[in-house]
Amino acid sequence: MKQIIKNRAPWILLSCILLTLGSVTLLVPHHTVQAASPSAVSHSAARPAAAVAYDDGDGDELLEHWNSPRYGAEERVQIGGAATGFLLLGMVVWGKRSRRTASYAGLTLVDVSDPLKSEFLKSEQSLAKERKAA
Amino acid sequence: MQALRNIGIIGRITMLEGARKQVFHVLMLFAVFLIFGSASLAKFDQHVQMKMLNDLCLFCVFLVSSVVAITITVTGVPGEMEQKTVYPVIAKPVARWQFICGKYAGAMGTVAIGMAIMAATFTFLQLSYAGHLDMAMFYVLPFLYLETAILAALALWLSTWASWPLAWFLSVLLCLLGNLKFPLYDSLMARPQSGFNRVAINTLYHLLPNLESFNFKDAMVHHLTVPNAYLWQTAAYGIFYTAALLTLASLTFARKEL
Repeated sequence: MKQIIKNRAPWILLSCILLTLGSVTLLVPHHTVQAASPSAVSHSAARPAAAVAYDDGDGDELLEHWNSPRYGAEERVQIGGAATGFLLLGMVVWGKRSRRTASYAGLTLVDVSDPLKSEFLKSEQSLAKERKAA
Repeated sequence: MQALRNIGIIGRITMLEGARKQVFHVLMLFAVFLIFGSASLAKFDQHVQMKMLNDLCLFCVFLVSSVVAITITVTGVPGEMEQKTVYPVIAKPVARWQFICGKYAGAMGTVAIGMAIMAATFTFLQLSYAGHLDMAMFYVLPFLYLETAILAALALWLSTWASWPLAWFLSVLLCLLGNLKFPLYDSLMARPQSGFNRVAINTLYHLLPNLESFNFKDAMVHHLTVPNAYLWQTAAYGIFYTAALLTLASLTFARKEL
């Protein structure tokens, strides 16, 4: 099953991309121009439209994105997310490394299944005893 | 120290390889032609002409740098694997993350060469038309480079698990989505959505890079001041996002069966 999915992965991805592209084109706002009645025009002229928070009235909302608190907030959220990810990864790597070191330390002390190693350990221990006695 | 040396060696070779590629030469010629062409397009009085010239040139720099970065990064790792040149490198005491970082550094070196050529052409045009150099160029271009760095890291991560045409296509798609992040999110959330959809849209919204943040082209064109705090924050954001993507690429490549 896994192999079948792996073999067909490009086609599955391609269809996903086509679907995404299709939905993106549908979702992008389409502004339809409607003829406004004279009364509506005079009304809109008297009262300006509600301004977007980061719109300075020049018609381009994205012109001064550095003055928009939304951009700054989103950047801070993503920086925080990346920092948390690094912290978690560091903890995982550190945990793995410390476990590995501990298991190596245990091996030198308790692993006597290997005859060569046990012989070596015995000779080392006897040598140490002799040195102590001397 | 040894790790940095390894990255430096792989990076140097990748940079030279990238700079010798035919696609790089063609794109550079195209960029220089476009930058000079934009001067002839902007036929208005001198004040408006300079604005148009700056706008067109910076757009051209961004477009060509992005294409160079994506193309070189996306073909780097899969190309090495196809030609089997990755095996002698990996067989040496070189960690896989060092290989990935080296390839990335090399690709960014090639992009830097390309950007330097385009910046030189742009400077020449500015000096010949306006008679002086706009100082805003010294922060607009580095931020464009940072934006390209994010795109290259994204393309590199994609190329570690997908074939290069698919990775290229996905990189371009993500570049478009990253530039349209806020308007797209607003239009999606303006419609009634189910709970699951809202969670999915919000997750994607926070995962996608906000590439529009690096666009200070308008500040240069309209002579606007950008707060220093925002510039520093955006620089930190770019570095963090790139580092996260490179870590992801290294992890994916480390688990890959070669």
